[in-house]
Amino acid sequence: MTTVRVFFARLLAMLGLGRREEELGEEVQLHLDLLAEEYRRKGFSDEDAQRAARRQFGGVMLVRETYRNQLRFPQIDALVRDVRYAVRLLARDRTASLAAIALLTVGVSAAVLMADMVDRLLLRPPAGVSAPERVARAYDQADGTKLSAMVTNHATVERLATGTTREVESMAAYYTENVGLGRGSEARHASAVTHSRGYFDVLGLTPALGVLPSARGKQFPDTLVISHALWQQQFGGTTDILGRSVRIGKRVYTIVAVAPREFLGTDDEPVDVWLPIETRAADGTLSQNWRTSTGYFMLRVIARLRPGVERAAANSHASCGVQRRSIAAMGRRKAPSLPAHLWRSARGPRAGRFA
Amino acid sequence: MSPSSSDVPYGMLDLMVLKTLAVMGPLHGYGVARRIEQAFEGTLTLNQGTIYPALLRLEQRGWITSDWGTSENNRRARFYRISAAGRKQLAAEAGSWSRMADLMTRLLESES
Repeated sequence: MTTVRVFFARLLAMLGLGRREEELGEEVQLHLDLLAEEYRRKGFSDEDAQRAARRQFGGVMLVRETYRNQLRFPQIDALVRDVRYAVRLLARDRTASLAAIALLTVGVSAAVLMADMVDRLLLRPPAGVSAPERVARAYDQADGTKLSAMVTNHATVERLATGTTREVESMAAYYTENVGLGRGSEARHASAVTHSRGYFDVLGLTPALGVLPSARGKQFPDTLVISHALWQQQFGGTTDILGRSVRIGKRVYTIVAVAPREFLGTDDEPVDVWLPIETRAADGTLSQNWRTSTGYFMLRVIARLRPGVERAAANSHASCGVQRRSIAAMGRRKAPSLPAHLWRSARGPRAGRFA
Repeated sequence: MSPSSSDVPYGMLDLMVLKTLAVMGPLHGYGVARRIEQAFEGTLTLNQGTIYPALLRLEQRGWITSDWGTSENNRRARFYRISAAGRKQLAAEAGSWSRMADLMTRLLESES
């Protein structure tokens, strides 16, 4: 009975019957005012009283989001948002839309492979990525096997970078993870990309707000970039978001930039936050020896090619780098401690290439 | 925050709100939050904003109702009151909680 009652209450809210969401603002404001009044009676100044009230109340935006999720059906809200976004995107870039539709309708295995290779970077070049035709993802292929997105260790990334300096302008590695955002009852799951220096140089994004980390600039370890969606949903799109602290797991990060609205990441799952890999190593999430260990097969590689570069040349040099590493790994007397499937895939000969 | 204070355990807030409204009568969100904090005398930390999703959840289940009224500082405020179904639910949950606390106490005492 309770479940049915809750279902109908949410349904009515979805249909726009009632003004609970708007009225919450009034309730919250009264709550904050009464709290501030209480602090003023204790001798706080106006400003300190308001600050203390906000602290005791907790994140207003998070309360609004939780309230909204309780009020309606969050899954349906998310679906509606996704459909609206897809329609806007398809309407905006007709060429990309036609290419996507053409790829989907060919329906032969070659096209499936192409779709795999072309992926989001080319099919849906998000606004803000400059010259997306020069942005490439590293793939690898053992003899006779299907080409697949490269997942490798840092040593291989360095070899790739060293071997392709003539063709590649900037290269970066990254991996995806799920992290806890916030703490206590306000904590939520977030999808994160943990990246090496130069990640944003490769993509050439123009941030919606702030300054994106760059390999060419000063490094600030405990900083992060948040997605446009997170900025809107969690922080209400407030423009004083830069410099604000966000807890990820046990560490506190400072927000330095907001990604462009259309940029959701380079993989299938939309990203909420981007974290520097050095900090993840410093806080113990990642092993301290991630740079040197051959066992950390988790990094994906993206690169920005220099203008006018032939992909064949980049592929050839990339393959040389990867094969050297594979041969070196085979020459070890004791196999590195890798999961079996990774070790099998690490045994050469294999060819790296950019797609 | 006192060094010995702890966060409200997940799932306990609804029971606290029901009990507060049963004892205190109609209250607005601030009043509920204040009363819960006073009851625990600083041993429990409550992010007071979390009260509002809890109040909505209880209202959707029919365990409390709400109406607009006037607060102590003459502002418009939404007042929440426990319903008959809410009192039944409170009795059931309180009984279940007491049994669980009793079981845990016996278990911990037997281990020591």
